[in-house]
Amino acid sequence: MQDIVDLSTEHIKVLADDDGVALVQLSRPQKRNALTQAMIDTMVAALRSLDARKDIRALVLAGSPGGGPFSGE
Amino acid sequence: MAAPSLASNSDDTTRDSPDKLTIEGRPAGVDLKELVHISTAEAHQRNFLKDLTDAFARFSKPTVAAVAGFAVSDLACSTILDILTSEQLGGGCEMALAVSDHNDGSVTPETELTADGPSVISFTLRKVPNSDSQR
Repeated sequence: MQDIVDLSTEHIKVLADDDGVALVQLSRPQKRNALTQAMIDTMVAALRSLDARKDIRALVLAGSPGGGPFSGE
Repeated sequence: MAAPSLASNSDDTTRDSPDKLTIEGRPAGVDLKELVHISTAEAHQRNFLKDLTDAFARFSKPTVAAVAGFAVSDLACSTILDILTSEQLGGGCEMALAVSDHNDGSVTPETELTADGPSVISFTLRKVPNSDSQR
């Protein structure tokens, strides 16, 4: 999966694979993925951008591995 | 469509919330340290999470929430599920993959997939008694 660098921030990772499936990943395990306003802003911007992209066909929302709520442990 | 039961998980949200801070009864999942210094009125005014809820509601492509390892107190998880499944706002998520690690035995997700029209699927998650309390 490729990191969509311009959309990712420290606590929100935005990735996409070759099939057009985007992954928005909460990545703040030390705070159990509690949402900050900055994280919310990032996700809102990412959703807007991904929605407009023709090459993105679907979205998966998930937590980071080993990181509390919404996590894939 | 049945409302997601996690939306009424109010015991946890009230217990963990500082000083009567409520945002339409759903402060869960927001970093409370960011909110602790503002008044309830200000919190209402800022309408935390509304932007995110609206963004999911507007998002036009199939969306899956991969949820794993949640427990009763995992408020961030329940809030996001609430956002994703909000019937009031049209919902933003077609399906959630709910997985429990069962480590504490206190929560088991039960997904109830309900077709409501051609493409919308909702789900509910319910708390169930742990094995000790059933004995």
